[in-house]
Amino acid sequence: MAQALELPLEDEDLERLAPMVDDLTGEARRLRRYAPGAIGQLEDPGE
Amino acid sequence: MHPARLGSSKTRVSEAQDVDFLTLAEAGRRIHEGSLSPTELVEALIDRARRLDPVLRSTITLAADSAFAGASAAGVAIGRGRWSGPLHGVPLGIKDSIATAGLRTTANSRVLEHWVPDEDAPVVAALRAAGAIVLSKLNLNEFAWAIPSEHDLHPPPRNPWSLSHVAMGSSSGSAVAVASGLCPAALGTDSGGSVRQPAANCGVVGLKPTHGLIDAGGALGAPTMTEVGPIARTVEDCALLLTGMSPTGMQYAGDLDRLPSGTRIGVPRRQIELVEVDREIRAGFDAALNTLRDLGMEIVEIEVAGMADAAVADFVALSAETFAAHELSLRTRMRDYGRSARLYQSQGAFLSAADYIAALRVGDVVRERVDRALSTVDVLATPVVTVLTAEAARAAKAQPHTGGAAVFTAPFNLTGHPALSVPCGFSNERLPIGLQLVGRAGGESELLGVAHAYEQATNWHSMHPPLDADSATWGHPTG
Repeated sequence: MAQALELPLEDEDLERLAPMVDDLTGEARRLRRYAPGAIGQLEDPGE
Repeated sequence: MHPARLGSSKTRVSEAQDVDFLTLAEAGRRIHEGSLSPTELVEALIDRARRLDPVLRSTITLAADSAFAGASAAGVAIGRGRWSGPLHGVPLGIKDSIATAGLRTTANSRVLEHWVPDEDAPVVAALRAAGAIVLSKLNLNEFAWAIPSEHDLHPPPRNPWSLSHVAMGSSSGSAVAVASGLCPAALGTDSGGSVRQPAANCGVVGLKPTHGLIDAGGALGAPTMTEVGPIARTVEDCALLLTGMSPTGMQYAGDLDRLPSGTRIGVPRRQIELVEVDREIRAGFDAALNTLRDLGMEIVEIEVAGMADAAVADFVALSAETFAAHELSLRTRMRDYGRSARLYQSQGAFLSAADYIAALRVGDVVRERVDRALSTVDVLATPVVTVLTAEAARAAKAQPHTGGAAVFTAPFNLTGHPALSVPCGFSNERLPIGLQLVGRAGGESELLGVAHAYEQATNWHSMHPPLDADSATWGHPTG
């Protein structure tokens, strides 16, 4: 994905970046389920 | 210089140290009445910085020549009766991610290693107009968002209370310099806790103002949640600095003693209990609540659901805005970013527009909840950080995306409410602990008033780290 974005990161950087991005995007997508005004919204923000 | 040598070094102290640890308010008073000249004060602080900072590492640029010139001009103006207020002739430190005209501003990055801005950030211009002198540009985590390392352009500042620990960031240099008597007050920036956390960690006061109150232009950071805030040794000094920073003409230091009776402090107890907080921090927080109660304030348990999600959302939005700011530079100068900074500034590339908008909407929801809570109480109280050291914060949660150690501070960056950290004790290892107080939007006067009342009921603010041979007894109160 970083290559698709053409960011000049080296393999070592990508290895360290991958878990950070997994964590960040996973949390972001969890929040999307709660976003007020979203069609199909099921829940409020959590505690 | 090795840290172990600092406490045993032969130093000239006594009188000089009295000047070194003058509060901003007292320095301003003495300069006004003529018992201290700006040049004497600048000279003492530069001497102290040159002596101590090789170990503390709080300063990136010591602006000795321009500070002496400014001090001389201030002395002449005051001598001719043109005193411009309590900041006139008082030297300040500025985080090195805030632009200063003609003075190198690096953000502690090789990307900006040689950048000399043409213009001051508006907040710096406002402070200069109030008569303040820029003494130093202070160290920080690279671009205010990275895990610091010994390989940084400038390695991380050490915590003056325990030189074996680095100070929490990102405004680490600002908090270390103020706590160590290298300057009476400083500016930091705060996007998730970067003023309040280092302030708590170094035993000084740090304020993140209401979003939009202070012009954050010229301060490198994400526009939605980055605020420029004062760091000082007392609440009064923060209020004086905020007055100089603010374009409103509001006099924040004038109302500090006018605390209305029946002040109510809201504690989001259930949200705090859901977080793993260091036992000593929890004890310090509970003791602080008892002190507030002894002052006649009412402690009320309240609900602010969604605080932890607001912390997450702050970091999601921060990541997106950070990448937007750095994209061009990352594409052309990736290798000039440090190993950690290049990842932190890049990760937002992987977020979608929907992620960003959802994060902002979570902020909207929690902002309404905080507003609702603050319609029933005057101020909220929480711990500042969950752990005692920068190293523990890193070990507990390598990535801050779930709030991590910032779970109590980051929500209020996204909601925009003013929040401050005031010292509330020490751990058994003699590391400072802070109390966070959060006010209504635009309610800085009330917030500072509550913090001042608490501060005056304690003596934490009179403790200084044992950096000099003559004050080697820990916690020696030097007034």
